[in-house]
Amino acid sequence: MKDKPLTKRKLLKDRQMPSPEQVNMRQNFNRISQDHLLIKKLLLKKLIGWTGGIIGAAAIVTAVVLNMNKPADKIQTPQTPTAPAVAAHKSCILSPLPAKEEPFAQFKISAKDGGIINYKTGSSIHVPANAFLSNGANPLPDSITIRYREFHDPLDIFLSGIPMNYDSAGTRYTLQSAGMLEILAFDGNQKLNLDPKKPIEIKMASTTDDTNYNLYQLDTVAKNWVYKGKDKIVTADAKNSTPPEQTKTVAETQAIADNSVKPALADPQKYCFKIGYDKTDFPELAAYDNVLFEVRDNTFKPIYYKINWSKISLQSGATKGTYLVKLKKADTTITVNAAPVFDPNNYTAALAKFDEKQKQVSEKQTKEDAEKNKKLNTVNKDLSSYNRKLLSAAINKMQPYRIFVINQMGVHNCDQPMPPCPMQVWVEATNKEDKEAAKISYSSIYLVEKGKNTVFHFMPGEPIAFDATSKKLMWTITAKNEIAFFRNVDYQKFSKGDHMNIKPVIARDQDMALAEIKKFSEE
Amino acid sequence: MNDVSSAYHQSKEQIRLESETIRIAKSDISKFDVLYKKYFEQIFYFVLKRVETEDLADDITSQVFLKAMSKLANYKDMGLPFSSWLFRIARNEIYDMYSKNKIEMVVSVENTGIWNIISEIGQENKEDYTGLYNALEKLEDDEMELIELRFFEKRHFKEIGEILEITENNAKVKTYRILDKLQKNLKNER
Repeated sequence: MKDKPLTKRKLLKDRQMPSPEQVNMRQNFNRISQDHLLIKKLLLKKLIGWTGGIIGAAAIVTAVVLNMNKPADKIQTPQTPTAPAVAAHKSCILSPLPAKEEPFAQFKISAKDGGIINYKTGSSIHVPANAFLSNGANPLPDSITIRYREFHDPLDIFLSGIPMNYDSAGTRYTLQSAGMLEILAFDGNQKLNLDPKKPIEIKMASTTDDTNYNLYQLDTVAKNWVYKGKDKIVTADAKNSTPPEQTKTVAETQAIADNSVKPALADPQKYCFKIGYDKTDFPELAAYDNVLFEVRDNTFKPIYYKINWSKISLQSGATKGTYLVKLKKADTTITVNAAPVFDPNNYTAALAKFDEKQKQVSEKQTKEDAEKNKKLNTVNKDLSSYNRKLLSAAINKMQPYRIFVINQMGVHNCDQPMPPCPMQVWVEATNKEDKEAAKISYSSIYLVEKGKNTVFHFMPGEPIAFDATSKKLMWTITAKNEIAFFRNVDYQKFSKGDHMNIKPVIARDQDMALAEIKKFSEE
Repeated sequence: MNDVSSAYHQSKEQIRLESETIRIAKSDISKFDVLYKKYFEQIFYFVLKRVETEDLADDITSQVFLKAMSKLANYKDMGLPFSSWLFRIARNEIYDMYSKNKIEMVVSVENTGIWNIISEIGQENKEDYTGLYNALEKLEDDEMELIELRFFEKRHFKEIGEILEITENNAKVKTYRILDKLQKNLKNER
């Protein structure tokens, strides 16, 4: 058994497999045929370029003879000339370092009602109601997931693995980005499609307010960008904003007091006193007539009730609805706890008065609450608008935004196509000191040029096209996922049409290498 | 285990006809479409069971056929099904992408496969798969690959041997050793 890299494979239980019909719909022999033809052409062209027609033909014969009995596991991607075609067949979006790419932010929204999503960069996504198509007979659940991320600088673009090449009329352009996003919708694990009649409006934070950018969408089937038109550019401006007046309007309105004590029916087994009192001293009892105070003390002696007290007075108790009755005669004072009650003849009338009072209070409270909320809403609206502007301005400092609509999920880009540079060299990254692998195994060469918000991506065997006068940073990724940089001295060796053998310098630390790329594009 | 993949089994006449198709495709590559149509589904499922998404499986499947077309001239007809050669290319392609950190690899476990393993190792509690899942997760990748081919894809030992480039007997011996290991691991867990 051939040795394979150590893997720890995740167990996926009871996985839903597509039906054979769905699988067979993916057949596309024409595409494979075209790629196969392209590989053959490139192979022939390269061989002729390298060794001349006769030697090349001999090499083919030799290679064929040598490979005649080669077991299948030795089959490898045809070397450099075939790579562009091979690459074209791989997934459109393949991050070179998946662990480092920008993660998706996930948002739950109602499929029925839609909603507005705010992303960390200040971008906002307005999803209309009923914007998604269900995948089958079952209707969509109310809660669906939107996955969203943005790419703004060359490091983001490099790590995303999103191709920036744009083929138009046979010419290969590289797209320079003013901001790129990927948006997907899911019902569980099932991808959802957008109803083209219900486009999503996006206000995307951008790196520039330059109007010379177009909108493109990545067609992952054709593996090319599709022109979608122009965007509208706006800028956040909070300079002239002043915070709305809030102290008076936000101030809490006092709740209307409702101190009325709810009437209780007198207990015929308990002693009661009828006490005269000033209604202004006890407003909670002011609405009632014929109030009795029922003794609640267990220590009250019946004899007290028979005494002709010289003075009986009333005081409020420690808690609402409780009272102290003071019974005084000569130098003797007895204090008892009591509660207001009504005899059966007066109880109904007292209860009616209490209900009436409550109704009035409730109506007044509702009216005042409505007025208060109206004022608060006005203030909150002003504050919210002000805060949004302020926050946005603070974060983004006059952040330009690009407003556009999309009618398909996927990758969308505000771009400017740049024609290929005339300066082209063929580069082969080698490391002769490594006896195990004389040639650094790499899949691509990446190039960033100062002032251009993109990553030029060259497959092995492709000529590297660049602006000879620009300041540039070029790197590759080894089979061990190390980032290996080309040095300035290497670029100086380049001249048009050259075939170069260059030994890039492998960065000791991947994160530091990525920071270097970031730093270069920000300087 | 009766439900061994029937796609592998071909009569001598079928194999002869396939050899003829391959011979024609070698001289005229446009005739490769016959083989493409015949094996697309099998290869797609083979790949999909090892990767996470259908789109990725689609890309890798295309890559497999592209390589097969490019290397068809080197294909030596040994009277075996053409599918084994394609499965080997697919397997290499998946591992190649994995080693370049382009993809995550998975094992698609399905219940009948689990039940067949349980039948083979004689687990007492046939309702509780948890222990078996834990034991499976502890297997080395080459061991898991054999279990995957035999139980989750229900392939004949002869075909497993051809895909892994080992003898049929070796595939059988290795598989039963792994089942013994699973059984021991399960006992240790109890």
